Amino acid sequence: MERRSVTFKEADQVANKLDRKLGSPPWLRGIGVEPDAAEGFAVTVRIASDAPTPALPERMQGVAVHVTRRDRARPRVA
Amino acid sequence: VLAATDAGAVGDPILQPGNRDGGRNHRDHVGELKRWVRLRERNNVVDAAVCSVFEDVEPDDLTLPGIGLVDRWWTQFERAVFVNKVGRTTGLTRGKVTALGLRNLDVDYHGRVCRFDQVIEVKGVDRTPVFSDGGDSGSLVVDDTRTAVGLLFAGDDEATFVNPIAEVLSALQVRLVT
Repeated sequence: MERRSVTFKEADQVANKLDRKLGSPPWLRGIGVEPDAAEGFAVTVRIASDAPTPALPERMQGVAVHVTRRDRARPRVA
Repeated sequence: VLAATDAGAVGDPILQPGNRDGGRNHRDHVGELKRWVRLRERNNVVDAAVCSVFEDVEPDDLTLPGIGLVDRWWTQFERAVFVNKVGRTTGLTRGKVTALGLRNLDVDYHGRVCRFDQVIEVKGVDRTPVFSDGGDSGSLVVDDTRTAVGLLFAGDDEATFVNPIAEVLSALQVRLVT
């Protein structure tokens, strides 16, 4: 069966839910809504490079949830 | 960069070019720091400042080189689009919006970590895989219809982070000259 395209709003609601669920652990590097060529939008949870992978569902409310590893951001000053 | 991170004072001299690019006090003094957004530990949306420009300092041109005159700005940004910017370090670069509404994004200000929400993420494309680098902070990011998307403020090894333009304009109580 063909999957329905996820809207930004639907993905954003899932991102909010995950945000509330996860709180502010030190390994969290951000939760965002990403354009997804196949599904419209997906949610990505960014975690610290050396953090263990958190136990998260692959989908919430039909929205794909991805986990990626990222370094901490810095201001783009000279 | 107009205000040293939360260490500036109203009236601080603004140099063009900046002192790291050979600018000197008095000779290159073009304006003064007017106001800036104070950073907090969390719930930040904007990292930006605004300065006044002396009356006798006429801008050469309001056109962004290689991009053109900005036409308007996004009030609600819910689309993935190609974007461009002109920055002090990397010049004209092209990228694609790869994430919207990023929340809980930690930015390390030399040991002081501030958490941001509503961030737009951009990754470089085509001949400019690196969309920005140190010194590009403050660049206006615009889409292919010359609509302002946001103000560049941070980045990591993979991506550039941008504050939404509507939030920047509101926080600084300024309007965009189009």
